[in-house]
Amino acid sequence: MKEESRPRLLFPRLRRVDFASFSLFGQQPNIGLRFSPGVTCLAGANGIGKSTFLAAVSFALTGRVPMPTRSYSSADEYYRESGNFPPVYFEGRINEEDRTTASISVELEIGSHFLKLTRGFFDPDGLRALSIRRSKGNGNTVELDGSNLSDTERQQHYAQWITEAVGLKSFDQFVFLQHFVLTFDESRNLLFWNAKALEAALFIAFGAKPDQQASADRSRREMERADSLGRNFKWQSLQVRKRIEAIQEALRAQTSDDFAQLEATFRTLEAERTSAIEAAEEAQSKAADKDLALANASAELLALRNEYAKAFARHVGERSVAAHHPLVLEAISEKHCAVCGATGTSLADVVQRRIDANGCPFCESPLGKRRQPAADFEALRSLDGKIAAAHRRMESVNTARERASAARDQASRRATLATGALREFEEKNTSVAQRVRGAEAAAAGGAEEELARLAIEMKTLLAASKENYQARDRHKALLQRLQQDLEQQYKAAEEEFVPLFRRLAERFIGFDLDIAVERSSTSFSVILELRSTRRRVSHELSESQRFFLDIALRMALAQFVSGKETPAPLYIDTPEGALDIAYEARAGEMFAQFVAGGHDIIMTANINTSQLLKKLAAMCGASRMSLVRMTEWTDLSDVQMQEESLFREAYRGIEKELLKGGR
Amino acid sequence: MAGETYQAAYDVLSITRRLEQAFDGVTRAEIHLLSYVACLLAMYRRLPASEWGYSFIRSQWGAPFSAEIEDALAMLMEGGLVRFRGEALVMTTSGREMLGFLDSMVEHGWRIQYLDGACASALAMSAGVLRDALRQEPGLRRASVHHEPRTLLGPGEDAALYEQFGILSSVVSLEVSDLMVPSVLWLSYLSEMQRSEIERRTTDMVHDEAPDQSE
Repeated sequence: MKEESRPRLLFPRLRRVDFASFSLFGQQPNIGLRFSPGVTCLAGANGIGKSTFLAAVSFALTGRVPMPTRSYSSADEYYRESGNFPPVYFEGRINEEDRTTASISVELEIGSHFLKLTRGFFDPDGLRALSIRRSKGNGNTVELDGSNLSDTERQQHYAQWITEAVGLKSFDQFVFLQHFVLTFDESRNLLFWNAKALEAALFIAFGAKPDQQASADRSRREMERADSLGRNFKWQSLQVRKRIEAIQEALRAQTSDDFAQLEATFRTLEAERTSAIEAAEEAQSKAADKDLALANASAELLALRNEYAKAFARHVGERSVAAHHPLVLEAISEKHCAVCGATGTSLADVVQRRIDANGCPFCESPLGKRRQPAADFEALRSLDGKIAAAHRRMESVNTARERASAARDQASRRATLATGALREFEEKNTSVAQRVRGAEAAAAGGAEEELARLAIEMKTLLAASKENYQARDRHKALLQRLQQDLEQQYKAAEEEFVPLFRRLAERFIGFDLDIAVERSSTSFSVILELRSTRRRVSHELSESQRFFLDIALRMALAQFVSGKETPAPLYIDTPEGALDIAYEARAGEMFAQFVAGGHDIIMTANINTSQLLKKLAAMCGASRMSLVRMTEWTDLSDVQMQEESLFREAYRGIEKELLKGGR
Repeated sequence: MAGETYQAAYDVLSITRRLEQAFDGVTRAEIHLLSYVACLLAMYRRLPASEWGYSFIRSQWGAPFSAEIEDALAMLMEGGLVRFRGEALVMTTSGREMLGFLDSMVEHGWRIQYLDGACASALAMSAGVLRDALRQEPGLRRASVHHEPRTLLGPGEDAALYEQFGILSSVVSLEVSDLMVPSVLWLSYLSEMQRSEIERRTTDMVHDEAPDQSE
């Protein structure tokens, strides 16, 4: 393949990011960041929002956030189905009061153009601002000022412009490249082990035209759809055939003795189940009646007790105030006058007599209406009798209820057993049960008509199945032609691409490594060869090996499609994983090699004693690498605050390498 | 009159009547204590605590307390059925008359056996010993780990109590006519537990205060 015939893609280079009201970065919700060519590393503590930063940049560029559980079927389907995810993703990261104002702005450089856009976090399909300038001579000319457009129009305009500027066929291809190839995010969705996504990436990288990938996606989707429909119609026809056979069998078996005996058992079990279910329903109904009766009796008892309580209080409360005045009580019970100090039985008698005469014991004034304790006692006595009767009724109802509950439980058990027995019989004698039902259908008349109708249905289903299988084969042939073309195109470019990958990957892994084509009837892929052993299965490589070889593949693809003069950006989220210090240093060398080719890495990292960052800093130097202290963006946890000096020390270690590096 | 305060009122009258015959009245704290013991005796006979008619909490002083008993006391004093003579609650003539009538009511009569059992225990053991013994009652003991007042005998909190009652009923039949017998037996057991605990604490304190002679 000649250099000039393969597609060259012109990726946008990130120059600036500005957040507005982004609550997650509590200390700096309006943070702005300028990006220089080379490595920009945002280093910070755990839980500080590093992954969110990269997701937000991806969102600004595409209107989508990479879904953690994403699978790839086709680029347009991924774009469509991921539309609802951004609001869900940003929901917990942006406070309610910031919802309307929170936005992200990015400035991009793409060829001789500069593009600036602003996107609200809860409006994935709109842009709040868009402007495009072109550098010309010493000045700039404005090519688009989107201030007169609606949010949706600005998004449409941006999608169309960026697609053409990058050199792709559709905006969903741009989203696919950004999410599946150029971004290595926290979900660790690896390209080497995602066959469909890898094939799509290879189509874009090696295909002769940008629309080859879309055609392959379309053909695969149609092929899978037709295959599914063909299988479905085939299965339905099989079910119809079974029904035909059951009716035919029933018609033949109506005269068989064995069948007659089994049919009798079947009918007995069926009758028992019907009867048991009816009995259970009746017992359930009776038990419910008793529950209601108990509730009524209980309510009646409660009402009577309330009445009793009132009568009791009335009886106690309506006693004469004078009769229980402390002086009167003392005079009667202690036979002592608290006023004059006199004592003796006659004193008590005098006081009691005056009270009984309903007069004041001191001044003999009348005390008004005389209370009627006997009448109150009568009221209490009457209510007590009613309460006792209500209590007896409740006990009686409760006994009946317990009996009804027991009957209900027994009937329910019987219904369960009868249902189980019938099910067991049906499972053991499927054909008998079907035949009985088939015979019922036949007995009901119209067996011949039913057979004729089913035969037509089966024929129609088989024809539909065949038609879909033919469609599947047509799409399959088309897909295979596209894959054959791709294979040719890949092989023509192997001489350039494979060394790109090997240089990066071998720098990391430290031994010979190759990449080979693998074709099946419906897929085209590339796989790794480690020391002449094909390691396509992910568990044969360590997790860290997988991560960095996948990053090497993405770097090689990005380098390959962008050519020598135009930069390719890679967005990498906390890649260090569980590497030992030797491999960390090698990973740093691999990254530095990518950047040395004129490309950009925008990455996040945990701030620790990482050899990856130190080696990268030492190789790039301050001229090609910037370190951003993310710990200053938001509030640290208590533990992180207590150990903040460790972060400062780690930052200083990397910054020291930056200052002396790159020479 | 809230809930079944009338049952609390009946219990106050009953307990006062029973104890004033032996002593010079009954203190407010003893009313709460003995009504709680009566409730426990009803539970011994398998009556759910929720059917006793009123509830108890463990007060911050570690003793059982019922708000309904307090309401009933206020009502009975206002009605002139009981009165305080110094610290001791005593019956008035009207109170005795009222209790005589209430004893014949089915609604109250069923409680007599439990109130009899509780008051007889107080006569047999003295209220002080009884109060100390009750500190080992499972509900009060469990509630004692909290600073704030806790509800006693709530749903699901009576398993340990029924375990003790189960052992007790294997010694004294549930059908025994005078509940004083199992009551005194059980309270004596609790009293012994309390005595052992005090001894243990005292020993611990002596050890803690003794100079270290290990070197």
